[in-house]
Amino acid sequence: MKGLKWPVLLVAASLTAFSCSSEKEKSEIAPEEQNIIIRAVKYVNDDQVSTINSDGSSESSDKLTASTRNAYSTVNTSFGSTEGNKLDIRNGAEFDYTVDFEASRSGLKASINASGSLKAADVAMDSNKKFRLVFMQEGNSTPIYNAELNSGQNPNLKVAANKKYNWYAFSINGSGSVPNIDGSGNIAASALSNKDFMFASGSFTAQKNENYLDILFIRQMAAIDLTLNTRGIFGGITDNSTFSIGTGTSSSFNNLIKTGIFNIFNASFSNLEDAAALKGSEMTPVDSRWGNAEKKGRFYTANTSATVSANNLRVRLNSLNITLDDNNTRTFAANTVVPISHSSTLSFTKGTLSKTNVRLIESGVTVGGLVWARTNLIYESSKLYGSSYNQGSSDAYRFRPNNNYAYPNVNKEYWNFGASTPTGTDYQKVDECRRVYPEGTWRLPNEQDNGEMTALSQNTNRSTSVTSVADGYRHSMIWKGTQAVNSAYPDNDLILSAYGFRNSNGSVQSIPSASSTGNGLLIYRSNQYFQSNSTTSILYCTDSSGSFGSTSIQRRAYSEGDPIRCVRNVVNN
Amino acid sequence: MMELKMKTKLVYIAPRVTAQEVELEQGIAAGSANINTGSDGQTPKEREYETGWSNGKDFDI
Repeated sequence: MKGLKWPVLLVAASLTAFSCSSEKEKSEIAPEEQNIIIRAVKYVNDDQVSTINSDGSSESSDKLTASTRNAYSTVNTSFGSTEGNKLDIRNGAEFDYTVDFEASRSGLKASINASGSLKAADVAMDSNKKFRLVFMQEGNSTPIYNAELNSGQNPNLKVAANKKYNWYAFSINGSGSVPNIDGSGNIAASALSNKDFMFASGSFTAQKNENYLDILFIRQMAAIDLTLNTRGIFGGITDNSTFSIGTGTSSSFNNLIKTGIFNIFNASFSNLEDAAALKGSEMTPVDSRWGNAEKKGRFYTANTSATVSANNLRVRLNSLNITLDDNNTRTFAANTVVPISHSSTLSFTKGTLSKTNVRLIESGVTVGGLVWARTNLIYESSKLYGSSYNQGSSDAYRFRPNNNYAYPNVNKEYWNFGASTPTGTDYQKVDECRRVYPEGTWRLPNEQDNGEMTALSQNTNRSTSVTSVADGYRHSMIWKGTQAVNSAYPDNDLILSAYGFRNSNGSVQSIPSASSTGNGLLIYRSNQYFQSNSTTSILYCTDSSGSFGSTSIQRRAYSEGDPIRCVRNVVNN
Repeated sequence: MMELKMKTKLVYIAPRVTAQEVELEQGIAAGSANINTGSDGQTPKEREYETGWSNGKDFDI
């Protein structure tokens, strides 16, 4: 026994004396910590998956798998061939990963499964997005690592080899801070309200050298894009407007947009609650030309088991305000419910993006069964959005915000007959009312076929008024509207005023607006015209100090500019 | 006794130990150097949305 002790002691002594620098390094080796790499490359093991090439042809899964394998073998070769310089090897490996990543990225386009249905593509997370990575050693409930990372950031995480770990990664797909978990692994419902919440998890036994997570985030909510178009109500959506999606009625509304507590250990939501409504400020303009008059916003719901039977989906305009051409704000009735038409049951499957488009169109006033526009047609050349009119891409033809004015703009509101602009000479070519967005919704009063102007002329259920307005006096005939009153609009009756006409010299005639006692003419165009003498049929009435004569249908020249009041061609709802 | 001790120190067992150290040095290089895998190598992926339903409505208001 004594003879054996000495050599052991001697070995220890010689180590101390012989290799001081190595001793220091060895103390770092001892835990056998391993690096964790969040690698972009994703294994695709699904035999059913084919890759779609840009030319539309598909490849078998073999090719994708083969290219992945090739990438790995390249890495391995690098390690083997340059074993003498390990730090350089790492650089070599890094380069290979980069190349491999790019190759895989171009190959991992949208793919289809065997049944032919589209399968979502897996794409790289944007580099400006953040996510949270949580690491736990199996059997422990306290994370050994919990940190926010930018996409592409090295976690600089080392773990002990041969131990089993569970990891959890989640993101709200933004560049701001990522919510955290509490001690039970729960993320608060409020932190996930209307957020693009993504989650991934996995477990592995740490191996020596690198370990790869291959994080693939899966959406945990169903998304619904709402596009709200207010071009047909002639104003832009204000930032403080709010919207919801659900079922039911204005007073008994079931919000389908939910948030909930998400537990990372069982990867599911619980305690669902209504998410906040979508604000106008959270929506983005679809087209810069009309800006806030068409905005799109995305709802996210954790209520992914919900279904909606046919025609029961509702968009609720909790608060809709629009900014009119005169910069005033029009506020519509709170919680107006828009019923959406859909022939089949809708589901809100996790990871799906659905779309609802709503176009709001200004309602009219009903007189004698015909729906009339509330205000006169004007031409706003600044909203033509181009050098010439293009269907769907113009807001130049529109209705005035209200009837409270004495003097129309001579160049915007007095229309030659059938011309593309008020002063245009391309006569009998264009029904200007049909160009009001959305095109085809409105039209000129049809005197030719339906005698609509004659019917109005003969409708004596009307009153007259002389009203003091900001720029003078408005002399009007008023037909009672029989439709439901909409308090958002200043008038719910058909108000036609004596604005005279524009003669061929470009000056307005017969306008009584300077005083309450002036004389003038009430003239409105119809669609009827006579080519033989280039005249059209108009509604005509004399006004003497607010005392109106009998209305009649008369003829006026194409080249005379007259006010136009459109009627509905299509009634929705 | 002191002389004996000095003699045993001169018995060269140390070279064997050094050979073991080469093995360990390999471990150092693989496990403790910083990993600079670059941004792409550390980039997670996300699965894009699948297309759901789509509908629309013109609504008079």
